[in-house]
Amino acid sequence: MKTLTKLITGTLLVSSTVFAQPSAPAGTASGGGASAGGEVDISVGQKPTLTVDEMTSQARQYQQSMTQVLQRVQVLQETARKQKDIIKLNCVSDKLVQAKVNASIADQAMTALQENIAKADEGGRTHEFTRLTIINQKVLVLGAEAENCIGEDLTFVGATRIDVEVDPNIPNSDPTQPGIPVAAVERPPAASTYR
Amino acid sequence: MTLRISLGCVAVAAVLLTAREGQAQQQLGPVSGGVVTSTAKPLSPENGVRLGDGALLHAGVGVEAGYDSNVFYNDSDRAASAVLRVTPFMELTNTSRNGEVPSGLFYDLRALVLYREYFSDQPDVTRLRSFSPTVNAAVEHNSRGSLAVGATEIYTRAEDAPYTRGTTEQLIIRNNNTATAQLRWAPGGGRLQGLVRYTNTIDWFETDYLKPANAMGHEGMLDLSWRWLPKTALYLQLRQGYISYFNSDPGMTLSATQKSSSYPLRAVVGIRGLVTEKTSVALALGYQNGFYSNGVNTGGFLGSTSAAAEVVYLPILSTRLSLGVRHDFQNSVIGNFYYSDGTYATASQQISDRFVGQLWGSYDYRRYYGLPGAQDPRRDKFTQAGVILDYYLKTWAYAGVSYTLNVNRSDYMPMGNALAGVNYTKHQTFARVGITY
Repeated sequence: MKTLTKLITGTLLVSSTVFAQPSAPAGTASGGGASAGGEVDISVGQKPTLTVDEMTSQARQYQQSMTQVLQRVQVLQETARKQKDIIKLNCVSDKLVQAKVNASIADQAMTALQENIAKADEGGRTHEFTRLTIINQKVLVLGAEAENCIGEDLTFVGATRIDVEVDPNIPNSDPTQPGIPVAAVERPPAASTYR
Repeated sequence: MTLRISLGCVAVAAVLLTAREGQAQQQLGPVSGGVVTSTAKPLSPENGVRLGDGALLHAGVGVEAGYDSNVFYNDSDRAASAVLRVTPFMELTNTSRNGEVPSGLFYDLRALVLYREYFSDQPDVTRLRSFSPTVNAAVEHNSRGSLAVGATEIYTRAEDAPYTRGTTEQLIIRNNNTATAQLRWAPGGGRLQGLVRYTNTIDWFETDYLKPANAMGHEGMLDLSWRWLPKTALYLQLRQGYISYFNSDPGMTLSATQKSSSYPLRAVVGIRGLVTEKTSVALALGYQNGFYSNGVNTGGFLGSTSAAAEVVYLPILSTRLSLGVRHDFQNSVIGNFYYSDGTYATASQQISDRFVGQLWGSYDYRRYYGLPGAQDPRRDKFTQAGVILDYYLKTWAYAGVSYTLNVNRSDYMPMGNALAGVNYTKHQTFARVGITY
C-alpha cells in the first residue's frame, strides 16, 4: 500500500510539471533541438525601441542623474571630513573616485552617441546608449555604497526629483523674455543736407 | 536658459546685419527677435570642431553670385551690375553637441566678413567693392537660475554705394557698435521676473557729409514681468535714453550742420508669450516722448503713443508664420526723428528634411520731422520683400537661390527740386552655395 501511494504521488508531481510547460510553438520540433526546416531567432532582444530624440533625452537624464549622485557623494565626503572619521572618509573617497571615473566614461559615451546620431549609425548609437545605461547603473550603485559608508542609507531617499511633463507641441524657447536690442544699421535716406 | 536663447539670437542678428548689408534693418517685434528674416545659415551643434571641454569651433563660408538691378539706389540713373559676395565666418562657443548651453558660464563669439565685388564695365560701379566685417560676443553667467548677468557686444561696419554716380563720390560707410550689460533676477519659482539693462550705442560715419550724424546713445531699461502662465507674461517696461552727437555742443544754438541731442523715453505695458500651444503674441501699448533739446519734438496723442502687436503661429513644427504691426518713433540720421507706422509678415517652411524656404515682406510709412530746407514732415514709403530657397546637401553644406526687393517712395522735394536717390526700386537675385561646419 505504501508503495502504491508513493507511486501515485510521484506520478502526479511529474505530470503536473509537464503540463505546466508552455506548449511548443507551431513549426518548431519538440524536444528542444533545432528544427530541420524552421528558423530560430537567436538575436538578443536588447534592441531599444527608443527614437533618436527619446534616446538623447534619456541619455541626458542619465547624465543629470550621475551628476546628482556625484554631488551627493561629495557632500558625504565633506560630512565624513567634518566628522574626522578616517574610515568613513576613505570609504566615501573610494566611491567618489570610482564614480568620477564612470562619469568621465559616460561623457565619452555621450559624445560618441551624438556622433553616431549625426552619422545615422544605428548600431553605434545603440551601443553607446547601452554603455550609458550600464554606467548610470554603476554610478547609482556607487552612490548607494557611499551612503552605506556614512551609515545614512536608511534615512537618505535621494535628491528631490520633480518630473514635469510638457506638451511636445509647446516651443522650448521662452517667449516671455524681452529681446536683445538689435542696432538699426540702416542705409541713411537720401537728403540734401544731413542734419 | 531663456536669456541665453536671447543672447544666442544676437549672434544670428549680427550675421543678418552684415549678410543683408546695404538693406534697411530694423527691430520689428519682440517675439520674432527683431529681424524680418534670416539669410544666415543656422549652425548645427553637431558640427564644429571640439577644441576642448568648453570650446566648440564653427567655421564656414558662403558664396553668392547674382545681379543687382540698381546699384546706386537711384531710379533716375539706374546702373545694373553682376555682383559677387563672399562671407567667411568663425564662431567659438561652449554650447554642447546636443545644443544645450552649459550651466554657469556661457559664451558665444563670432566674427565674419562680407566681401562684395561688382563686375561691370563702368569704373564707378567696380570701385564699389567693399569689406564689411562684423564681430559679436555674448557672455552670460547664471548662478542657480535665479540671478543671471550677461553682456553682449556687436560691432558692424557697413559699406555701401552712394546715391549718385561718380568716381569721386564717397561710399556710405557706417560703423555701429552696440554693447549691452544686463542683470536678470527671478526669485522663487520665477513667476516674477525683473531685468535691468544698459545699452550703449556708437554710430560713426566715415563719409564726410554724414559725419554730423555721428552719435552716442545710452539707454537704461527696467522690465518687470509677471508670468501668470508658464510661458505667458504681463509686463511693464521703462526705457530712458540719452542721445548726443559728437559735433554738437549742448546748450548752444545749433548750426546748420549740427543735430539736436535728445532724451527718448518709452513706457509700455503689454503681454508676451503663448496664448495657445501654437500661437505666441506680443502686445505693447504705452507712452513715448523724444524730448529733443532743439527743434521739433514728438507730440500729440498719436505721436506720444507707442504701440506694437505681433502674432507668431506655428501650425506644425516645420512651419512658422508671423504678422506684426507697430507705431513708434525713431531717432533719425536726417532731421530729428521719424514716426514709423509699419507692418510685416514672414513665413518659413521646411518642405522636407533638406529643403527650406523663407518668404517675408514689410512696409514702413515714415514721417521725418526736423529737416532743414524741406517740408515737414517728409513722407517715405519703404517696402521690402524677399524669398530664399535652400537645399541642404549635408547638414553643413547648402545651395540655394534668393531674391530681395527694396522700394522707397518719397515726397521729399528740398527747395522744390527732386533729389536723386529718394525714389528707388532695387532687385537683387543670387544663387549661392556655402558650408557651415
